[in-house]
Amino acid sequence: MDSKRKPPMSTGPSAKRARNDFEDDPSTFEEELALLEKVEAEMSQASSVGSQQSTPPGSRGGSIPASSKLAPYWNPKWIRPSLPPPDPSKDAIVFQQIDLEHYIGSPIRGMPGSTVGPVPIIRMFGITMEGQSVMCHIHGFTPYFYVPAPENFRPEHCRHFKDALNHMVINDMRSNKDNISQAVLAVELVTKESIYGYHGPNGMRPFLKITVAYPKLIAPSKRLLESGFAVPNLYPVRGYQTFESNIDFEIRFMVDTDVLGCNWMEIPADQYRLRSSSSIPAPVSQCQIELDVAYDRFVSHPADGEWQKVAPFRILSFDIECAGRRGVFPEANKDSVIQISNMVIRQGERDPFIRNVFTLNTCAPIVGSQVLSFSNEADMLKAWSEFVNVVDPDILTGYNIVNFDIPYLINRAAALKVSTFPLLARIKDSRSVIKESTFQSKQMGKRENKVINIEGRVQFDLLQILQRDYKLRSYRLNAVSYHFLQEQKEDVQHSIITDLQNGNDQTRRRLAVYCLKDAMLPLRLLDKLMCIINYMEMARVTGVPLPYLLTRGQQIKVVSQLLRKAKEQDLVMPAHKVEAGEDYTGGYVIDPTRGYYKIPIATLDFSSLYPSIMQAHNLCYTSLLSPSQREKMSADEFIKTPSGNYFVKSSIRKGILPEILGDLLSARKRAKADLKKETDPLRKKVLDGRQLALKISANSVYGFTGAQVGKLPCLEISQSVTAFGRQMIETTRQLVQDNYTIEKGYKHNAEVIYGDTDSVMVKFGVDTVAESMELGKEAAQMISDTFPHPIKLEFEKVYYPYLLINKKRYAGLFYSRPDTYDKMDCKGIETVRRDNCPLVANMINSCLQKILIGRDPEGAVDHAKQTISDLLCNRIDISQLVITKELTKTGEEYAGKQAHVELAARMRKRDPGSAPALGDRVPYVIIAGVKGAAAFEKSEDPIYVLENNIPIDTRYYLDNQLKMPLLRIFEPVIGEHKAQAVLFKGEHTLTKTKVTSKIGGLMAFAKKRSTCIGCKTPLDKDNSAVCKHCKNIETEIYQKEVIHLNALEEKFGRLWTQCQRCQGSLHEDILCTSRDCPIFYMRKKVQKDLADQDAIIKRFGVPVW
Amino acid sequence: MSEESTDNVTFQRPSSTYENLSTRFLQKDRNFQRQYAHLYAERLCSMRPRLLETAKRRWGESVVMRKLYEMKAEEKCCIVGTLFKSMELKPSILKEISEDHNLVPQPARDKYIADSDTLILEDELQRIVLVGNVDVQKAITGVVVAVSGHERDDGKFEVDDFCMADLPVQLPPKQLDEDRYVVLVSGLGLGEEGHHLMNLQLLLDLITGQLGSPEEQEVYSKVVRVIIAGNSLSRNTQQTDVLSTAKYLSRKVKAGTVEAVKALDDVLAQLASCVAVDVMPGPSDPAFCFLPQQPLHRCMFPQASVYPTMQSVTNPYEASVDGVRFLGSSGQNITDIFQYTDMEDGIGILEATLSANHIAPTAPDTLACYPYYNEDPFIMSECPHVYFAGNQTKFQSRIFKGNAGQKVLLVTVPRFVSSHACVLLNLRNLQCTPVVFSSNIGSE
Repeated sequence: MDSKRKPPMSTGPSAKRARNDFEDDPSTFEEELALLEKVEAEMSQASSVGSQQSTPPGSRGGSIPASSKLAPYWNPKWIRPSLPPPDPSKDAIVFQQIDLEHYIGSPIRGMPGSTVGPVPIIRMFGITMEGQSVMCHIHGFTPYFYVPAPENFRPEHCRHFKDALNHMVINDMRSNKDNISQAVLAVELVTKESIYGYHGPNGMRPFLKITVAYPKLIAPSKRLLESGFAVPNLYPVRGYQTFESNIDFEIRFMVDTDVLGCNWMEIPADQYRLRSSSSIPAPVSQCQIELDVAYDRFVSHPADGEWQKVAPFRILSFDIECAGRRGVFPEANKDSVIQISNMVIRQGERDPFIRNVFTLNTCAPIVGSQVLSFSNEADMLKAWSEFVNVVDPDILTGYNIVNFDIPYLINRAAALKVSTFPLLARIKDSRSVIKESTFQSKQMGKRENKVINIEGRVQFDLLQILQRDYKLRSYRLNAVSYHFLQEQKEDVQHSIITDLQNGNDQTRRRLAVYCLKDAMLPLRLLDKLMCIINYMEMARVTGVPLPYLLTRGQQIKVVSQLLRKAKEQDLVMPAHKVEAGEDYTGGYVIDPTRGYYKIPIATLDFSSLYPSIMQAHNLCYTSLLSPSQREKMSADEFIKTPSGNYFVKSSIRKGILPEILGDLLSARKRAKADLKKETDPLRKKVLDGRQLALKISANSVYGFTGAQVGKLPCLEISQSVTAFGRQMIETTRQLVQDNYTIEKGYKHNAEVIYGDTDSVMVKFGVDTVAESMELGKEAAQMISDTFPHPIKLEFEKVYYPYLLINKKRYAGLFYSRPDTYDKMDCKGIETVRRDNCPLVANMINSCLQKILIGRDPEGAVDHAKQTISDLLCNRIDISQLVITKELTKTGEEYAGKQAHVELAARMRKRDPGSAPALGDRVPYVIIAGVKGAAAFEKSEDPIYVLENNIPIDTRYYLDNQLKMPLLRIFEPVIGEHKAQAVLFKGEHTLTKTKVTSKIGGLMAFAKKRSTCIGCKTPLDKDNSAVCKHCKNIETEIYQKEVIHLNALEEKFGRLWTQCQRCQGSLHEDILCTSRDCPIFYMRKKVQKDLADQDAIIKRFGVPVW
Repeated sequence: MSEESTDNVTFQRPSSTYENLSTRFLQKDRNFQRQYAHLYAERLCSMRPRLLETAKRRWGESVVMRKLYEMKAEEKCCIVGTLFKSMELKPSILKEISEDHNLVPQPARDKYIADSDTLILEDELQRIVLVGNVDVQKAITGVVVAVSGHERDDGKFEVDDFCMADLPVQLPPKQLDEDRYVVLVSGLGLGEEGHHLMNLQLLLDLITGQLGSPEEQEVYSKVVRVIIAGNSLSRNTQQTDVLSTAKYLSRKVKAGTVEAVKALDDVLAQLASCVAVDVMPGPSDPAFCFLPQQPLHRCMFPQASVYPTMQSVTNPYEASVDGVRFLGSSGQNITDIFQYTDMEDGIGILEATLSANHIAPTAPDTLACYPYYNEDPFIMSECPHVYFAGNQTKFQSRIFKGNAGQKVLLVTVPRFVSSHACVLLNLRNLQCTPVVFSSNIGSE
């Protein structure tokens, strides 16, 4: 094994590297691994700067005891580059921070803030451009909030107020184990203005800024103040409204010190204290540089210019394999972890520089990756934990690591009593523990997640990202990589994993190759989808820490921006009580004139409609006028919105929401302009991520004002925005229809056929795309001029032809240039819906293609008829009929009977081994059952259906799956009544294949009688092919059948060799059971069809004579 | 029956001995539950001893034999394994399915080779990329080879030399004292649109002795057997979309082959009335798709099947005629290799399969074949005297000499429908000549 790891010899010319792209044949994964090794060998020769340490270096970063089971595998690549320690008197420390959080510690001498314990300290993690890990302890920042000062409050009252509140808070504590005497540190009189509402030209009011010792004290202070509080001898009991008492401490800190998510920090020389083994306090982290600094002594660089760069973060992607028992989802207290594969990449590089796999028991070598074999599972887990600490990754990724891999490892280590395993964090003594959390958002629905603390390492689970950002039919890694990379991965069943593990070092090697691939794919997907860059940019734009983007909802991002803006103007935000209420209403829709339009339809869009309305009309918390305030003002100082709310004009007071939006949108313009100029691919990615983040952020501001459960809803704003939107759409319609008329010299009268939220579809009546574009541009300009700045109506595209089905349901060929179309654009049509079987999406898609691209509605009808016929004749690939649902609860927990739950129960009776377990997705098809049986009784496992030749309930598929979607797209094309008749009645529905099940019911008693292959008359003799009447055309009948056999044989060959190529082996059987693979069922079905067809051919007798 | 008379001269068709050696290609009970791994395993297993022998002779007795997993870095050794060419452009059914979902279609092409193709050697357990002294674009997937070289740092195998197994033994052909001929013809292409049958009729008349000068008649009277090597029907007669056409549309439609099969029956009946005929199925005939293709069914030939001289055989087909051992195919094995290598020449490819000791190495990878279990009937276990492939672009022939003095006549039989040529092969001296028919009527 060690012979494989020799340092590269500098022999021979280095062959030019072939670009192994994602789109490669998947079977080349092993070769690809080998290739990576070669590239590295070349690189390290090119830059062999004597950094080839082969032994673990000193005390920092990467030390493992010689007794460690990891020691024999020690690889110098693991550790971070070591540089001489910085000299605090000369060297500034510059790093990109990736996460920050606070902890409660003891004050350090010389640092600002309270000198008596416990104090909140911010710790910030980051990486320098040279790849060194940094941790900063930031001292002296204290939590605070505001209350409006009582009337006639004088500065000298502050002390009384403070003492009274402190007294109450201390008394309120259930236990005071730290023996705190000073819960409330300070009460200051400040001048602020509430953000909510316009308060006249002199809106500033006296406020009390109340500073408490540590963040947990804010909640009780707030509660006490709100419920009623008295300052003896000064103020009787009264309730105080609190301001900014609901802000996370980290956000408070970031806002006040201008720190953004993932921005660059600079700690100037002479301003920090370096921690070293001899310092007090000693370092508490694994980071190479650990220092203490005061909260007001560092520089936080905004993400502009040079500071847009990204540090070489280390990203560890890993995957584990467990030896499950038959039919049971692996349980950490019973089933061992048998392999852990790891890939480590530096952000910005293309390929992982560390590739290895930890295996339980021996494993044959794998070229291009290191194999670390352990005979004992506890040793392996311990070694892996040490490996993580040595490699010191900034980001942990993988597929479903947060809800599966990491918890499993921690629980397994606990079961095996590996006490040092949970020391995964950058903080030396911190043990990672698992907590459950429920996360709910409008966008994602309710999700139960596990939360694991691994301080200093961001858990960037690819599955969670995909679930947030993409709507997919299936989220299995296999399906996802097929979707995005067109790459298949083998899917090996749990039971086979155990078999492979129990085999020899070769079978374990096979398993290890899968496992490595599962660690590699997330890295490729992250790269392809630019997740890390996009998320970092989002963190920078909105100013929240990177992990918040995955663990929190949309609101925190707006809050962060709002606070930053409010701070500049001495505005403070009231702490709104969260209460349930009505949600904001959607956009305005002009009733569609349904139909199939064979002439170009121009689309006029308001760009960033809601943000621009807020800007144009100065809609903001700060400009909202109360009726009483309005009376004091003259009519030209404010506006009345179409929803009847009043806001002051920007000449009186410019709102901060419009300002935030203005900043975001102009930043987006800049980013887009830079993007055009930029040539470097990585920087291009950053800029593109940035402009996207800016767009999303701008759009989320409106949602924030409308979210009743939010931090600061303001219905006056949100309803005004929608009302303006509605009015604008109406106005646009009027203007178009009034101006583009035959009377005014145009060839046709223009007609608005549909409008939704921020766009209107106009039929100008012209025949060419070019003319339509011309008129569209003209109209957009003309109409824009009638609206206040910055509202802008833009001409964007022409649909030609255009199929308007209903509200939010349409399809068309999308032209942005007059000559060629860009794409087929479908909205709200069953091309992506996940609760249908794939047949629906595919069929609708091809019909639309025929209608729109081919301009051949007849062809589309024929295609639909053909598909219906195929369905009735049992010729549809069963994978097209599979409906999939996740088994999330057991049967008793579901209210009604559900098809997939019933099926899972039935499968468990049949074979507990292969039945789906909780958390699995259950694929099923609907089979023909007793008349009147409910759908849930007729669900069946597709494999079982194939094997036993069980007939499909074609009626169900026709009526419940295909019918409505088909009628919807065909009614506008061929007419409402005709569609039904043409598609669902007629010759093509008459030919059906009767499938006779091998099992169940009467089959046990039925005696099968052969029929003539030609005319289906029953035959007297069983062993002949045709009846006496068909004898003279036997040759014709034979030819038809043999040609069918021929086609099936070819298909058989292609399918099974494809799987061989995919698994990358010719001499081993295919084990893959990936149900997401498009050929999985086909491959099974062709075996069966071929056997059936062969039996028919056999009846004609032996060919030779 | 063998008596034909023109101008008072009578020629007697000589009798000949014949033995059909194709039993191993016939299948009785077919099972489709198996995978292809067994076929490869069997191929590797039965070729290994032959390759070890060749390897030792070539590289010396002391050569170190290794399996891939036993290999040590930098150690010079010899590995026996199956070649697999990983090709980006290889048509993939997965990609075709994606096309249904609107991805870019795969363009149809003559050849699927690309610069990025890599050659992989696989033994029972592992695979390794081959580099060095080996021409990727000449290599054929599925061939079992021995390579000598060493594993490089980057995990690839640096090939110094490679070899294929020696040809198996060859029985000497029987010495004939007179000329006797076998006619090889392929690609009659019945049912080809716009094609007329004049040239074919000329061929039939010549063989049956109804045409030609007395000299010609004398020659053709010595034809003892006609082998029709596949594609008797034109590709046009095939419906490529059987599986995709809706049943309600295809139910009443006759197979496109019906008329052409009738015509073929006529042709065969004419031939069989005076000479022994072997008909091999080809890729465009109404036959099975899997190699070995099973004989065309007798029910299709009501006229011809009456004659005992008419024989429907397998493809590939092996038989001994007057002691001359014929082995050949209808050509799909050669055409397939053409698409996946840079070899242009049919006869070159034919020779390559002979040296590989395997009739159809690319089966099953790119050529559909039956999923055999514990046997690989395509391995040559006895060396033929004549090795032919039908349906090639042109006639070519050459003698291949084996290490142990084997002499094999390689013949590519041109497609009759485009070349109007058949091949006349003299069993006495294994000389072969193309016979071209051209009727002027035809070219108009």
